Amino acid sequence: MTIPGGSSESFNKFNYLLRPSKQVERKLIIQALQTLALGGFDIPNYTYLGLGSVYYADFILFHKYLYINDMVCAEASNIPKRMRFNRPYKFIRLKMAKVGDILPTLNRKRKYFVWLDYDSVLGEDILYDTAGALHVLAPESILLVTVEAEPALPEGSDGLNQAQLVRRLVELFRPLLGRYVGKEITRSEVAHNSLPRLFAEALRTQFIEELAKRDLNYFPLFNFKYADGAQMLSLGGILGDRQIRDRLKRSGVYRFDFINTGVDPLRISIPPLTAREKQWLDQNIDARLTAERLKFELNRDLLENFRRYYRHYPTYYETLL
Amino acid sequence: MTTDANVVSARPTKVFFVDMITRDLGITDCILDLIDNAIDHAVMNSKLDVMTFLTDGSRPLRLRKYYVSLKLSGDSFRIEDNCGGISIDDARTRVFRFGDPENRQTQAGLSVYGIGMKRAFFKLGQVIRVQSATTTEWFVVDINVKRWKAKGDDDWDFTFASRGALRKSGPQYQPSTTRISIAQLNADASLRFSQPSFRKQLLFRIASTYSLFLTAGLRITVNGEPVKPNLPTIGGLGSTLSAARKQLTADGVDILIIAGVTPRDDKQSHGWYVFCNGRMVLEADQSRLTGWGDNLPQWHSKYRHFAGYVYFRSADVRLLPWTTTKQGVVYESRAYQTALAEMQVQARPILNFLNNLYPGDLTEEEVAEREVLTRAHSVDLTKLSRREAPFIANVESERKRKENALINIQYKKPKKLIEQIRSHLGRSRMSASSVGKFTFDYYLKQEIE
Repeated sequence: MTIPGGSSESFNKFNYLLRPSKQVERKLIIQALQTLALGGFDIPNYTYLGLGSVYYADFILFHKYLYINDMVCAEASNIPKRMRFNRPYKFIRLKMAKVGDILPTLNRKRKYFVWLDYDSVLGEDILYDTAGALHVLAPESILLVTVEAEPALPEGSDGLNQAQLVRRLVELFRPLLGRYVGKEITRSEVAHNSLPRLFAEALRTQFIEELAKRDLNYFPLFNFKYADGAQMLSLGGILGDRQIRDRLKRSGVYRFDFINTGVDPLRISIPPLTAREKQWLDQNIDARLTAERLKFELNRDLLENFRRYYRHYPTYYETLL
Repeated sequence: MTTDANVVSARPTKVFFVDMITRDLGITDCILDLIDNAIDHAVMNSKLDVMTFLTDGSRPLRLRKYYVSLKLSGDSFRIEDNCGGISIDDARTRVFRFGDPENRQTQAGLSVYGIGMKRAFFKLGQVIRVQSATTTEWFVVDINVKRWKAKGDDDWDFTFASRGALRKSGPQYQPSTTRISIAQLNADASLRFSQPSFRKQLLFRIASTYSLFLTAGLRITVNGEPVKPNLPTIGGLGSTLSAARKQLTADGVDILIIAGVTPRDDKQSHGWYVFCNGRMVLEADQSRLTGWGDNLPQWHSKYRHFAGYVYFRSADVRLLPWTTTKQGVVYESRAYQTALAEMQVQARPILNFLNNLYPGDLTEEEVAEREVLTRAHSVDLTKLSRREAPFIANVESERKRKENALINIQYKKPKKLIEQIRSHLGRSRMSASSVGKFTFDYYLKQEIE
């Protein structure tokens, strides 16, 4: 597992289970949504629709910090008992079904916060889900999509050399995403460092075009890439008519530097630090602190990311339960 | 033609109407255009909205007193109806014009553009007689296409051959009837009308295109043979399997979407059926027009049990997304785009269900979805539940039933090895199938239980 911008040596690795970048992403989303709530968007009365995971991490955080208490969890794999057993709150409605099966059942008048958090590469099934969500969600709903953005084939890339893999990826993404991106998809767009941007552009165009059919606009808020293991892309925002543009501005949400309305994803890449290192950095961090003035080795890029996200840096301790 | 050197002529030519726009549709489509006009009168007079059959379950046979009779042969074509007739004033000012100058409908009718009847004349033959009577008056118009064309592009009008008030002493016309007779058929029409296969195909098209009107009691005959409604059915099985249903409104158009699966014994390949004011404009569509390969997967034979119905209804017929040929939809129209988005949302769970019918690694008996489809029975569209709900396929209950089902296991082994087991057991006459069962039970007991 590699931390981009860092090295692949073991001291630069996190335990994947902890997924610190993902945790930072969750906290940034919470901060943005809390700001929207203060700006008059009635976030606590939204319904959260998320994809299943036995950890329910997003459900717990969004209930605690956004006060959302109407939640739907969609789980497609056949583990109903495990999902029920781990359900942290009684009010979470567990639906053992695919998102595509659930979308027609949504209340068209309710506002939803939907996070389609996939662990697979952007493919046609995901695009059908996002299109469906864009068709049924009420204005002021929030839609966020997370996909893997590694140059890998859905059926696996075993036995292919790099040139063959790239050719297959171009063949795969041209028909799938070609209509959503401005220029011809070539080898350079499917490379590791470009793929998140390709996905972001495709999803963004799809959001805009599908919403236009309903006379609605897409107001982008989030466009992150991060890699706790595989590289991921998260893109999303709020949908609504023109009038909410001013309300969004007044809410102050755009003052955060992690709000990204552009096509280029913002990288979340936090350095693995010891507790002692983190405390020292917390005590000394300011705009002038440079890598050369640190008391330990840390490259400039990771320091920059720490400066940006230190408030959200998760600290993990072993506990006895 | 004007002689003013400053004027650039944009006048229409008769050739355009006689020889060009007739290329846009087939002979059957032309005949349906004429039937549309008859039904339009019936709808206006009866004030019937056939979509209510689907939306509130009422089934008034309000069209029972109306008929449309078609007679066709290699020499001539005739369509007659008793749906109200055309008034002399309407004939003079509207019915024969190319393009209806205004739209003054108040009922969800079928006449839209004021082109279908004339286009049908020109497509089918050279000598046309239109005779019509209301309850108070009658008229006859004769059209000889060759002579009319020869009059040049400055004189477009037809003239009444005769007309008058309906009196006992005068010419005898059935009140409220219209009869269009066409002779000197064009070669294509003559050939097709003489083929029994064409008449079969025509019957079939009428049966599906006007299924709701036929259900409302309208009688349509082709050479004396009555057409029965062919309203597609959908599979249902109590609370285990039921169709999706959604009503919405866009741009002054009411939209009703019904979608589900057809029962297992239905071998026909389906798709989306689209209707405007009860008249079918797309049949079993599997193209991008209805979303396949767009926000739904490409159509595939594994989806052949998918059947979706979309009904558009409006008293203002020009708001409806039908083309002038009524053989397609105006894809870009707001009403259609709204419907399309909803069609895709409602279809998704159905396609997921159908995808699950063919998992690679299970035997037929193990697939609960197949059992649901086998046990489903046909439900007439007018008899479906009118509760708005998404598609429901409760395969879980079926799967539970399946857990106790018996599965066949078949495999081949060398005879020599089977003999060895027999002699080891000391049972030389044991059948091969019993050896199979015995060894299975032995494994179960030793390794699992």
